[in-house]
Amino acid sequence: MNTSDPEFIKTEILKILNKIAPEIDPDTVDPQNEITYEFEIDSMDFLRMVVKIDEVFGIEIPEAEYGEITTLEKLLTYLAKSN
Amino acid sequence: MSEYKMPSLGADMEDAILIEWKVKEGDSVQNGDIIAEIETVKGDIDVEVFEDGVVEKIIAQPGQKLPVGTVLAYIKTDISSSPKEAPDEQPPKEIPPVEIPPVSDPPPTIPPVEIPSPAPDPIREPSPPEITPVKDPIRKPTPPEVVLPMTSINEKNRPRASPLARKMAQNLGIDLQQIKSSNESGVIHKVDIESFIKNKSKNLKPVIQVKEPQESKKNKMRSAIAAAMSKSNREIPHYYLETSIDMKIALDWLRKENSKRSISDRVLPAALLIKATALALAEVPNLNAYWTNEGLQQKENINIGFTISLRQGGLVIPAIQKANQKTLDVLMEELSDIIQRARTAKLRSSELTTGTVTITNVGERGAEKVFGIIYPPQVALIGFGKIIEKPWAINGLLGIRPVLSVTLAADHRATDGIIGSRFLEKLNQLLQNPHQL
Repeated sequence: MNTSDPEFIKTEILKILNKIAPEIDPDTVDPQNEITYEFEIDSMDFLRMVVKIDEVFGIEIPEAEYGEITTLEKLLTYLAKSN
Repeated sequence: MSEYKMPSLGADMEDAILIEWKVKEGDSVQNGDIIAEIETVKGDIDVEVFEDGVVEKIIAQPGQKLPVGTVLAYIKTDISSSPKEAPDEQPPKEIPPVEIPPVSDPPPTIPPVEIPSPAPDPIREPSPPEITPVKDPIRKPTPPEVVLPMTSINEKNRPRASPLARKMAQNLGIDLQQIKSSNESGVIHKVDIESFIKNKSKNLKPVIQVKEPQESKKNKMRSAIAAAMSKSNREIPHYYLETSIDMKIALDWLRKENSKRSISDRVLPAALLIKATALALAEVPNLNAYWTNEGLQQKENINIGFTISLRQGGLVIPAIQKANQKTLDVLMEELSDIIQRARTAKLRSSELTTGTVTITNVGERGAEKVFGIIYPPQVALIGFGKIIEKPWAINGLLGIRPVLSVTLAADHRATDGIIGSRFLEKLNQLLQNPHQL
């Protein structure tokens, strides 16, 4: 698998978010809006997402960089850069 | 032999559907064992037994929709061990069902009734010297008014019943007119109520549709929340206090701690707030209490009810037991577990009934301040807003600080503002010393 492929990253991220918030249809989500708002996730869900990203992509996102992954679009860009 | 009844999982629950038994007749059970699964508007809940014994007779069948207080089974209790109540703080059992009165023609109300008291709980000692008197000699506590369903009765043709029987009927939401007295005097006694419940349980027909559609459940949860909150707002004289807390020290400490940890071990500010709240309540115990007809009943254990919003709508408030005695790591672990189980409808009955105080942390979702409504019979609710950078003056110098708005909604029957102020001040002190949490 090519972990830097944008399509792969997007698919995996949506899988992670679907597991955390199965009630949210990803097709209805605005990628430029806050993930916490679009997926209705709280800080515990957000932490679960970060933990899962580490497991899937091997990328440990420091707390100080949470500001760079606030939207789905920003998160995908961040992961593409980190790979 | 004791009756195992449909538990009340809060003031907003009227009935539930029995999904399945986890035990069969003849099985031995121990205090804390999960013996059945029920479906409530809050999701599917594993219900526990609170005594040791043997399942003598199963009355209720899977698929049946049963009101709170209905006998589900009989447990032959172990003679050598006395029956135990719920593990920590026994919830107020069988709170009378709350009905939303129709707008146009409100049903008649009956005189105020006593809400059953929770299990005896040793009063925390020593109490702080400045505590508000537990009982007010002049102003007697106003018992909540119970609005009965349309079957409720008026004073004129009220059936004759003993005070105990009347209280039992009210607690179980049973219309006394449905009950026949077994003695010549025609007065209804406890035994008549018990036999009515027993027969009712036997005659209940299984409900074909066990799983309700999601939309219907959502509406029911909304109605249940509406009823419970309306009742709380109507009956509890709330007072509100607010303070702003400089979170710089706490957040800096947390950042430093988390930088030393792996991602999965990171601690969230929510855990810090839960721990600080629990420790502050240990210092101001009058807010960790239930308000009943007997007045203020302080609770020994500090079980923090944590409000969790459900994406499909509504909320649940499972409790983290004895939060003041747990480390931040343990609190994180339990919080994570409880949130996931709340979202997948897998909570235990004791988690929904043992909260002694409630925290709402809607700040995470953006609101700067939240003024909550108390979840009875608790007497306080603490609301955390969003942490926002604000200008903040310290020692004559102006700086920018992350500031948290904390509100306290408290029951004025139970405490006065000075107690509430003391709690908020203590909370502030604790959050300025995060390494001690």
